[in-house]
Formats: sequence, structure tokens, C-alpha cells
Amino acid sequence: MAVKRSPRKRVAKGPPRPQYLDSPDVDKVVIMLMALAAEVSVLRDRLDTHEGLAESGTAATAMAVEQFALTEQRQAARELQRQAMLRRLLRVLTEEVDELRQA
Amino acid sequence: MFQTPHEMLPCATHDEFARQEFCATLRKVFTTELWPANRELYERRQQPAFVRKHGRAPQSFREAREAMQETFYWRGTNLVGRAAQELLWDTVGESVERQLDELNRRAKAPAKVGGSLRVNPELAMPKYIEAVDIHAMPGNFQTELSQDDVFAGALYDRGVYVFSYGGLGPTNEGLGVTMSGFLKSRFPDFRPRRILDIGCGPGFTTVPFVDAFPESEVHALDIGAPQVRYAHRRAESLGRRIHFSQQDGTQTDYPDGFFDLVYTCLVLHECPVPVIRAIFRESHRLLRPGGIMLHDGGTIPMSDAGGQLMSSFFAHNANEPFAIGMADLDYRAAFTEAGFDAAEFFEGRCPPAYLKEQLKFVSYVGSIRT
Repeated sequence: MAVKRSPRKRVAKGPPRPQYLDSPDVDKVVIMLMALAAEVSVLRDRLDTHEGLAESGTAATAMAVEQFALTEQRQAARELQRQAMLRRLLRVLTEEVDELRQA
Repeated sequence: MFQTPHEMLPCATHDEFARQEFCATLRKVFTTELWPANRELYERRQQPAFVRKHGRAPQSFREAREAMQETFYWRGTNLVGRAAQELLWDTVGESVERQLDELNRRAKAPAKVGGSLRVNPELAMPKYIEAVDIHAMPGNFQTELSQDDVFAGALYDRGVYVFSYGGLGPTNEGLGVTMSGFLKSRFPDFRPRRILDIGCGPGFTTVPFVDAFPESEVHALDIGAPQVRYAHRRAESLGRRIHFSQQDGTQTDYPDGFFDLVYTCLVLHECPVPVIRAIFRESHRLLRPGGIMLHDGGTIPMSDAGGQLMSSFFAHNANEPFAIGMADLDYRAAFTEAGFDAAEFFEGRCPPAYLKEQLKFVSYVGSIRT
């Protein structure tokens, strides 16, 4: 029996989002960009799961993907890949600090 | 490290887990790499530029921020931190919502280790609670999506783990372990019969006090019904007996002198100062003579403009508008106004359980009821 339930809220109440860049519209595009990076990361992890399944000779069906046992070791390797991806994505953000360190 | 499962912890599909991992990694890169480099940029380039322009160093947070505003790095890192915050709640929220019917059903299972739950549908929500979604968590701690809802409890229990990239421990126990450890080392002979956690959320700050004081009767309250419904079943499934209730911590229904220990963890900086003072007064009423009141004092206010700059992120970007007002609070004076003897004030510092890369230590403040 389904209980009557409101959908979850997706916008936070309270102080307005601060403005960071030249316009709030640009800020929103950057926030969308980070959400898109999350989706790319998810695809990458799913591919890694496919490779893990292939290594053990298991067909990469949707069910096999869901049942794949992620080891701490594999999780740690994915973590490093994610960090590397973020550094690539944010290169132009870190420019000023990189220049300072090279000086 | 994986978060330890219990009956109420939301599970995740392959992709939901991967998305949450991205959120955790983003939080880690932001906290350990992106944000701290602002200090370098400030000291090596922006502060010197300010001195050349004004003939003196920045004297306030506002001036330090003014010095940084012209850099894309400062504005961009603040924005990435904000984006990470918003992405976290939407990511975990989507997963929780998918399985919410099941979680709500599980929360109703009968108690098996003797804990209890009291919910009060008539409880009035204070305006400050309804006005701000703390941490930019949509719905805050108290919004109910249905009768018997646990959404906000599940969101926070999983969300905090992802937010801290596992740094609070596999059951988010780090804060409570550090705090109860401080109390035991400071007062080694203290044997509280009854303990109260004010503002317990999903209960991860309560369980460590059950472990630290196994002979004690432990109570915990939160203003949000979804928190205590979740917390009750969570504690039961972890084998810890706790009596949860939905109450306003400034005005509880417990009798005078009912408790030996009253504490708050991660609560005060989310409250306006008048509410903080009311919590101190209520704590005084609830304690028997010789009982202890203990609060985490939040981050130590920095005296220099650069330090204030570096500790400003959450107050300005993560919907913590009350944290700014709390930074100036004189605890000793506030405790005295609440009825505590000034001579019984104590404070202490510990290495932090969380945000180790940002905080040197966390402070605790308290008093002994005379």
C-alpha cells in the first residue's frame, strides 16, 4: 500500500546562494558542470566494474554489475582516478596557485 | 572504507554509490587541496598587494576577503565548494527517496534492545528552524514528507559520511568518541546515571556515549521527527539502548535535576544566540547538583584576518548563518547568566575528529552544576 508522500525538496531555504563569478547565471553553469563531472565519474566506475567482471570471465549484465563486489583495493584505485580527473578538470582554476609555486 | 551497514542505512545501486563516491572525492580534493591553497595565495600575493595599496595589512575578515576577491582562484574555489555541497544532498537524496517506503516501513519494527521513541506531532517548529536549511540540506532536519517519515534522518546519516569522506569513522562515531573521551579523561571518576544528548540527529553522536558509559541510561532528543524515528531503529539495530524523543531542547518535558550529564554536539553553531542561551538555561534546570553540562565549542575563532578568511567557508557558503554570531559568544558569561557558578567553568581542546586538514583542534566548554 503506497503511503501518500510529498516529493523531497531539492532547493535549500535560507540565505540566497552567494554570488561567486561575474553573474549568478555563470555560477549555475559551473554547478551544472560539477554535476556533469559526477555523471562522467559514474560512467568511468561502471566501465571499471565491466573490466572487473571481464577479468573473472563474467558477462557484464545489469544484474552482474549490481552484484559486483567492490574491494577496498579497487575502491582506492578508483579514488585516485577520480582525483586525477578532478585535477584535469580544474586545471584552469588552479592556474594562479600553480604559477605561484613555479615562481 | 565503507560505511557500516545497519537496518536503517540507505543502500545504493552501483551508480548511486559511484555518484556518492564522486561527491566524497570532490569534498576531499576541495578540503585538502583547493581550499588550503587560498592561504598561500593570500600570504604570497594578495596580502602584499593589499599592503602596497593601503600601506597596512588587512585588519578584518572583510578586508582579507576584499584582497582575495579579485582572484579567480578564491571565487572559483568557493564556488566549487558550494557546488559540492549542493551536489551531495541531491545525490544522496535521490537514492534515499528511491527506497523511502522501505525505510519508513523498517523504522516501525518493534524495539528489541529496550530503547524507546516518543514523537510529538503537536510540537511547534521555531521560526529559525523553519527559515534556514542548515548545511544547504533541502528540507533541513525536520521536514516530513509523509506520516512516519525518516527521509531527513537517512539523508543526514549517509550524507555526513560522504561529506567527511569517511573521516568520522564507519558509523560517523568520531565526534562522539572524541567528546566522550575528553569527558572521561577530564573527569575520570564521573559516573553519570542519566545522560541527555540534545540535538541528536540520526544518533551517531549518541551511540558513543552509550559505549563510554555502559551503566548509564541514555536519552536523546531532536526537534525533527524524521531524525528520532530513524535514530531509534538505527540504535536498536546496532544493539544500543537509547530513549529518543522529538522535543525542543530549550524546553523539554523532563523533570528538574533528572540528568547527570547534558551535552550537545555539532548543535550550538546552528542556533541563534538567544536559543543557545535558552539551551544553557534548560541544561541547568535538567541537571542535578554535581551534574555536568558539556558542549563542543566549535572552531576556535581566529584572531588574524587571514585565519578568519580560512575558517570562513561554511559560515558563508553552507547556510550556517548563525555560526557567525556564535563566534563572539562569551561562554563563561553565558553559563553564569544561565545559573551556573562561574568558578565551575571548564574548557579543553582535543585534536579534531574531522576536517583534520583544516582544524588544529576542537574545543569543548562546560560547567559543573553546583
